Amino acid sequence: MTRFEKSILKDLYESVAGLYAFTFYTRYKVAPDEISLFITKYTKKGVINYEGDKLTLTAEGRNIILKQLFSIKASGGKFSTIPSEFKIQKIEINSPYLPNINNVSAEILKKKEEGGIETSIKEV
Amino acid sequence: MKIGKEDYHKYTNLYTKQNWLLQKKDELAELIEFCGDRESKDLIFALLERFHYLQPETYNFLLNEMSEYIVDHSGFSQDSTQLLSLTFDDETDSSQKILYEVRSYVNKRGWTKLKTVNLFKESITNFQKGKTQILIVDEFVGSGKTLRGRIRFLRKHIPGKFEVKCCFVAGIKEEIEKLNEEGISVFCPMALEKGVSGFYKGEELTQAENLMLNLELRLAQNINKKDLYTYSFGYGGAEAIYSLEGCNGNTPNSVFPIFWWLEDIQKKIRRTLLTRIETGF
Repeated sequence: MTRFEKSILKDLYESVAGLYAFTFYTRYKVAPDEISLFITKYTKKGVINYEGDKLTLTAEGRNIILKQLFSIKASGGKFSTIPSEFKIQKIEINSPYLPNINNVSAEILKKKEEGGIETSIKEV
Repeated sequence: MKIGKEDYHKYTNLYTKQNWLLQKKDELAELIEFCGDRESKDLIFALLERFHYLQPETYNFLLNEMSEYIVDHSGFSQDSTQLLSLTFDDETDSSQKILYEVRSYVNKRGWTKLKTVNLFKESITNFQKGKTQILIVDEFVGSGKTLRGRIRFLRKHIPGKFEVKCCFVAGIKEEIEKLNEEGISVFCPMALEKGVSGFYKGEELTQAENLMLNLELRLAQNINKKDLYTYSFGYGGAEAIYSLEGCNGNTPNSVFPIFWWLEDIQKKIRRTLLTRIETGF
C-alpha cells in the first residue's frame, strides 16, 4: 500500500459522507490516472464505493480500516521519528547534565598533553 | 498539468472505465485540449467512455463465436466451403489477420481440411475447384460499402451458381441489419450502435453532430491523397467507436477520424489516440 493510498483511506475513514475524487487532487496532487487505479483496486476489494464522482468507504472497508488501524504518522518521513537506540530516560528541563566522559567521542574531546582534559562541553 | 474539477472527474471516470487509456495519457490530454470548449470535451469524453477497445480475452471469445457460426450454423459443408478474406490487392490487411486467426478455432471444431483463401480474386479459381460455398471473413463492417462492392464482384465474375455468407468480428448494428435485409447474410457477434446517432436523439443529436463537424473542421482537410471528407464520421458515416489495436490490430477507417487523423488544419502533426495504418496515408 502506497503512502497516498493510506492517506486517502484515512481521509475517507474520517469523512462522514465520503469525499469527491477531486479532493485528493487538491490535498495531495493525486493525478486522475492514479486515483482511478486506486478506485479500481479498492472497489474490487470491496473497500470503497465510487459513485457520482464521490468515494465512500463500504461498511466492510470501514471495519477493515478500524481493525488494521493504518499507522499513518502525522508528519511523515524517516527523520520525524527517533530510533529506539537513541532514546534514554528523560531528564527535567534545565536540570544539570554531565556526560560520561568515556562515552563521549574522541573527536569531541581534546586531551591535553599533561593528562588534563579539555572538553567542548561547558562545565555546569 | 493544472486541472479543473469537472475535467478531473471526467478523466477519472474515463480511466476507471477504459484502462487502456492509462498507456495513452499524453495523447488523451492533447485530444481534450484540442477540443477547447466544454461541450466538445464532453462529447469526446462520452464517446471514449463507450469506446470498444478490444482486449485479447474478448477478441478470442469473438473468434470462437465466429468459428461456432462457421462450423455449426452457416449451413455450409467443409468440403465445398472456401473461407475467404476481403483482401483485394497485395497489401496485408485485417481481413487476412482474421482469416488466419479464426482458422485455428475452426480447426479445433473439427474442420481440419477447410480451404482458406487470402486473396479475394482467388475465390474464382477456388470456385472452379468445387468450392461453391463462399464464407467471407473480415474484422469490421461499418457502412457495408466495401462488402457490397465485393459481393457485386463475385456475382459478376464467378461463372456459375454459388452461395455466399459473411462473418465479421464486429460491426455497426444498423448496417448489419440493412445488409441482411438486402439478402447479404452477415453474422457478427459484436454488433455496435453508432457512436453519435445511436445514442443521441432530437436536439441533442443535432448538437452532437455539429460539435463533431466543428472538430473535424479543425483537422487537415487532406493528407497526401486522402480527403478527410471521405472519412467524416468514419468511412461511409459509420460512426464507429471500436478498435483492435489492443490485439495487435489496426483501427478501422469506420472510426471517427478525430481519434486517428494525423494532422490538424495547420498541418501540425497530432499525437493521436489511435493509429490507422493505411497505404498512402
